[in-house]
Amino acid sequence: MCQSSLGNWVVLVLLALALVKVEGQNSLFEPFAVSFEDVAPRAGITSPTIFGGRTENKYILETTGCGAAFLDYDNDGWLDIFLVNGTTLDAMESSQSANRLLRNNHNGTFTDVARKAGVSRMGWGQGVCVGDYDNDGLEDLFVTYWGHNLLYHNQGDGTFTELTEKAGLFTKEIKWGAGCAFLDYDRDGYLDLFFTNYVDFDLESAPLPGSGSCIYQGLAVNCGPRGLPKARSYLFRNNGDGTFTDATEKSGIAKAPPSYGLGVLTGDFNNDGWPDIYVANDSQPSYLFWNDGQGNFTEEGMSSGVATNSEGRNQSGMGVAAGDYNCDGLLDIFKTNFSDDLPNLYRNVGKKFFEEDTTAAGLGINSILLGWGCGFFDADNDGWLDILYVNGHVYPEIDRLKKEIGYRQPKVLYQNLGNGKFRDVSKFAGPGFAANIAARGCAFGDFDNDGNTDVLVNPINDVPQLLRSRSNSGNHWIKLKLIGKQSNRSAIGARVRCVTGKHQQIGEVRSGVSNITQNDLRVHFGLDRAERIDLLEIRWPSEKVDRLSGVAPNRILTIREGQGL
Amino acid sequence: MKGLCLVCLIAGFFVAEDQRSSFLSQGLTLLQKGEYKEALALLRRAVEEHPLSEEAHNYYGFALGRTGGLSEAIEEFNKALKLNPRYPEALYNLGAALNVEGQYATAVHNLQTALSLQPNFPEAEKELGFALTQTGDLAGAIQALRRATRQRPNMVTAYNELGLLYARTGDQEQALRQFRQAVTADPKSAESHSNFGVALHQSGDLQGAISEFQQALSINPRFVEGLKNLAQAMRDKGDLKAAIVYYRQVVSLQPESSMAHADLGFTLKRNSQLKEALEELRRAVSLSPELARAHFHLAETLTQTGEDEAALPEYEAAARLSPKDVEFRVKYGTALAKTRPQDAVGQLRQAIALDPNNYVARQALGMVLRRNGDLEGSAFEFQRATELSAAADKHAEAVLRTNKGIEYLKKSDFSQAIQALRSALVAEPGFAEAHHYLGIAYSATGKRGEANREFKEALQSRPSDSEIHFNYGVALGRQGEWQEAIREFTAVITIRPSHPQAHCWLASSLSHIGDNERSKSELEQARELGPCELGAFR
Repeated sequence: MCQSSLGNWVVLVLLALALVKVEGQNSLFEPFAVSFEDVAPRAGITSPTIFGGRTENKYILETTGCGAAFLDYDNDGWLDIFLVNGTTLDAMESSQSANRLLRNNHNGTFTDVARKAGVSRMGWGQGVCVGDYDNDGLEDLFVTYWGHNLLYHNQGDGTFTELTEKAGLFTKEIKWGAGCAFLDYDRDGYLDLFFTNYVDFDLESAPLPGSGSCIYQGLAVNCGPRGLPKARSYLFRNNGDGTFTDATEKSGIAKAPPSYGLGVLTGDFNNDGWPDIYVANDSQPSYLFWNDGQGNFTEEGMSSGVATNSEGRNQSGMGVAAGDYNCDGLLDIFKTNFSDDLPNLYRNVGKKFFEEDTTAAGLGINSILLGWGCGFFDADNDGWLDILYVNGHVYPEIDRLKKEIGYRQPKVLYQNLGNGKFRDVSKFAGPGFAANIAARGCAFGDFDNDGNTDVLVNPINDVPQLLRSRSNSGNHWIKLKLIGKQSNRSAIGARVRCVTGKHQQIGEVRSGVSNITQNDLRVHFGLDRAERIDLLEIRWPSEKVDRLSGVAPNRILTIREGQGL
Repeated sequence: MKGLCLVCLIAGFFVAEDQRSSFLSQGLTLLQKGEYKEALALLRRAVEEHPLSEEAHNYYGFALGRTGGLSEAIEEFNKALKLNPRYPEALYNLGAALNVEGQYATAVHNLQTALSLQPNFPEAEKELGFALTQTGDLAGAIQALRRATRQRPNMVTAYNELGLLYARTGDQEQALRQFRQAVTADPKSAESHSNFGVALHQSGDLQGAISEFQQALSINPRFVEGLKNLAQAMRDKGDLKAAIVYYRQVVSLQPESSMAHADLGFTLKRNSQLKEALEELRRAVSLSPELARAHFHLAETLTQTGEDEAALPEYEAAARLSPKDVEFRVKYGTALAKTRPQDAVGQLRQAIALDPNNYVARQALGMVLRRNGDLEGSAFEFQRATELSAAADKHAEAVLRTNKGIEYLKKSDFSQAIQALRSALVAEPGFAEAHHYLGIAYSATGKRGEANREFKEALQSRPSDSEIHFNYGVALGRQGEWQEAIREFTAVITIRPSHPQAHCWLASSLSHIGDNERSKSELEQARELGPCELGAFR
């Protein structure tokens, strides 16, 4: 009898130990529930993005690479892809490297219809942003270039018409357009346009590699951006008739000194209903333009704590993302930077101030990588925003040094633990994370509508990756396509609050983000195991508020302003 | 006591054997074999036997010097010289001993006397070079060492010393040349390869430096300095994995060296191996609690792993141990910001007091003041930081444009060069380098007035720049303005006495005004220092 009791006791103890062990594993040691696989070849994405020299870059022009967009240009409910392309110094007009518009065939494959659609332009393509600027229900494209930016109007018949000059957006001088975003800054129901420029770059007078201090780890490399002339950001106000007017001076944007602008991020950072603008600058303090609701912007990045790192050091900002990672109702900011540095996690504490929490949140462990495109997204649908960013060095010459970390670099995925901290799950993220790549643009969207957010990576001189997400988390989700009526049709700027029990999340419809890239305009929420959404509250740019309750999960909902589902 | 010279023994061989005591002969034989302790007793007996023999006193002194009796050795050398003041070897030995004692001025006197009696005496020249370096007469030191290497072309130590001297005077080209000679003279000298590697590293030839360090280590795999230098070069190249391997080797050879652990720890941190970095850095601070750098890197690593609380005392230690280090103070101040904001302000203000133009410190202070609610204070600091940062940006622009101008100059495209250099001055008015090279460009196009004006502007900001003075002198010489040219070349030599081309041009200028005696003297000096070529601008 005693033996039997002892035996039971031993079993109980073992069980208890096992339980304790399992709990510990959940938080730190358990592999991630999500796996990414590169399905680009299967999807028909096989041609590389061409951008500058493969083994050496003579000029900084060859370093920035191209963005990418998820968009539904044909309104069939399936995300299509727009991949910006570049060129080389030798073949400035190469027919091999035009932009690609990939129509989703609904079966995991895509077809390149760029030529047919009239968007197969060649040149030093940079970024892309999406928005229905004329409220005709069709997503339009704005593509930035070193050269001349282009506005493509979606005709609705599978084609686009280039209307840059007609719209008043054409500039004669060559400029280096970088990040862009459509936003309705004055909430008049029409999407305005903001874009930044990187360097005032002239090929004729640009210095050559190795000039002066243009040396990196003993290698002669291209010069810049420091020492090269800076450039300006621009804000164009939509006149409501298909044309735009330059509002840069009037709005106060021009008061900020010229800078090396790269990533552009819009969002209502102080919850006053007006979209603000954050610009990640390279080698300089980044800018945060606060919108006062009267058509004016004031740059206060420094006093808001988002211009530099917490030590006051300027950084080389590239990609930017906004998201409420700690679910306190305030949008936080994530920014990627150069190698031998850390990205920034700026936690919004309200009253127009942010605290940098990068290392406290556990994001200090990958300092050797050079970050570009990034995003907050709920990879495992547990209701907490995770972080992914892609990397790649700026100098292909670095491969001559035969170091462990070279030009092509790994991606990083941080899982949000729900307590203000993250853990690095990159090595558990599946085969899509195995191959290093010289990444630049990175867009997030659910191209197969399965409720898992996929990732599109546009690299330099390599084939883009389409990382399809597979999850065994069993968690629920909801995806919202918002259509404005009084507000702009794309609903850009709409703020959504999602409540499930005690858990609250916010999201926004946003144009332009990451590194010169466009995410799926639909708003996605992971719901963990919630069987029902208690409240979905949409605050439209028009200030109208729609509320839905008792919403079932695991579907894509279309919500029209003022009409609900 | 390397300096003491067994060459003196050669002199001994010319003394008639029968005039030498057997103690002296036996003692000499043992000295030649390196058996100094054994020789000592015999040579003592020799001195007792022949107290009036300068030779006995000299060799006895040598044996004393070799066995740790330096002051007794000096006494014996002095005795030898009292008996024969014109005894070159004793003068040399005395000079070498005085160098070890740090009595450099007296050493110089003795060595110079030795050389006046025996001009072809490379060891004496080398010792003289060392002594003159210590007294600050770098030009004299260079001349002496150059004579040494001319008299004995395989004198590796002299080449190394010359290299170090040239590096010290900023003549990187010459430094490299001397170190290269050292390596050629003795390819099996690990030290020489290492010195050469350091000079290459400093001149920016990282790959060349690595190659030399690797050579040094193939000769002597346990050569710690070589390992350290190679590790650092690898780290600068970005090959952190390799750097870690070499730093680990240093640590295994010097396990009690806190610097070794600190270097390894820092490199591990850079390679994101944070756990191992912490181990090494903790070891470093336990070995040397006063090593500020180790505390600092430990603090940084702790911060990176999210251990802000543990990092704070380490930042404090770093700032306390190295109170003038601005970066330590800025980091400490920033670390204090959330928990002790007033102290944070204090630290950052101290950082700014140390370096008022440090815009990073001002930005950090602005952020802390803002957090503390001092909006006016923060606005002031942000404004000042913006101004300083803008100035730094303008400077970077001016540098790039000046370099572009230099590129055009090298291609003799003077009009483009002038354009680029003028645009550099638009970015940063008064930028000395731009004025300097603009002076060269104008001079090359025959625009004398403009050229002279640019050189003068350059010298306003950089009155001690020997290259600007030199090129201005060349321009004036080409204009036939010899008196002004002499003024400029004299300025060069005052700043850099070992500038051979300046001596050369000065000689030429002097002969143009008829001062042939001075011209001859300058020409001799020039040839002592290097080849004399009346070439183009530098």
